[in-house]
Amino acid sequence: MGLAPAQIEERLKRIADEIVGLPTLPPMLAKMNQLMSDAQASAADVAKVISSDPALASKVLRVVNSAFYGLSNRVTTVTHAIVILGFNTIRNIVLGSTIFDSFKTDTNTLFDRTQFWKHSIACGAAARSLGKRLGQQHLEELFVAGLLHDIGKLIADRHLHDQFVQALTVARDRDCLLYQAEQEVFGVTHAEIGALVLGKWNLSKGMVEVVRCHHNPSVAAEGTRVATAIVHFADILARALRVGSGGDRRIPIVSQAAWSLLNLETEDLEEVVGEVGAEIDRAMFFLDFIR
Amino acid sequence: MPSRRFAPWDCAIIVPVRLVRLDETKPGHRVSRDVTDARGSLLFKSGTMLTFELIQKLKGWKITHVFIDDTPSQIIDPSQNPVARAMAIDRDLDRIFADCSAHPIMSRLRDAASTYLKGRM
Repeated sequence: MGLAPAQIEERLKRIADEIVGLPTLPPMLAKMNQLMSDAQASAADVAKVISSDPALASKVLRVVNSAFYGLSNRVTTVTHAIVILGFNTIRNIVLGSTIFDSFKTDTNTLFDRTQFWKHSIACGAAARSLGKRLGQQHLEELFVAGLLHDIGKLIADRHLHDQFVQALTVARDRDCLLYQAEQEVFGVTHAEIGALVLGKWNLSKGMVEVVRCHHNPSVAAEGTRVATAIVHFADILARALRVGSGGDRRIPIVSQAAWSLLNLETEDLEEVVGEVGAEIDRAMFFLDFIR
Repeated sequence: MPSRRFAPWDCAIIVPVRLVRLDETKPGHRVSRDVTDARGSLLFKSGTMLTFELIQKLKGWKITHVFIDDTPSQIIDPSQNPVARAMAIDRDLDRIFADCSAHPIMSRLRDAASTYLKGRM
């Protein structure tokens, strides 16, 4: 049986205390956030910050010129990339890339990182594809929310390692979903732990809420329900298409509340799966970032 | 004394079993004993068909040898055989969707995923 909200809050507080040195916001992202909130900042200012890290600048250009964005002309400068794709898209590319970098060195034989990132990229791509279908405006936010929906697993693996391994073992032995095993082993789930860290990193409230509620979209706050429903179903689609693995081998049943917000009929599913599959293929170049 | 005729239950089906090094296994081999780690925790049940991913996992878990069925019909590499690959996709989806068969949306999604994945073969 699940815990009451107050108990979850209490347990999370204890976990936050247990995590010695909760991962800090990567400095590059802090600088980007600061610039984005400055109404006077120009594309050139943002480009200057990105270009101060040549590896990051080259990643941004690789992403911008990939099939994922399908631009007809080659973009060769970061300033040009910002002008074409906008501040938010560039910030999200930086966000994805810095988070890949922060976590790429951890190893756990029970928890395959490449499979984890494949699943995360697939979920991001599926969320972007569903967002397009639903006429959503903030497609990049949906991509990043999908990319980061399971980030709590990486935090748990790094900071609550033994308990996380125990949860992985329970999920494997009982063939259940990992979040159910986590609830049993440490009382909260990767969704809540991920939201805790993303909140600390000052990511948007919407993004934090989507990550917190992706396994339980009916409790998402007003204003974030459609995005939560999208990421919830994107996670399911990534599992159905067997792209990567988030540490378990089962698929959650789609929430009725989420399904009704997605405006889909069961007859649409073949088409949706085709669109999502193509978007996942285009997004897989993000895997280069972890190599 | 008249000899008794053989009945089917008089015959034992002997499935040849072979202990092989992990690097000799191929996708399509079926393990014929439970695979456990050094502490005896079950990793895979007897009868599991090996896939490329499962073999990689076993390597990660430092498993060096497994028992496999040595029946020639079992040694089909699904990556080389379209029928076996299609069967492997359906088997995999059946396992992933094991709790969802009565759910109309999830059943339809399973079928859509099956069609899509087979179409990409």
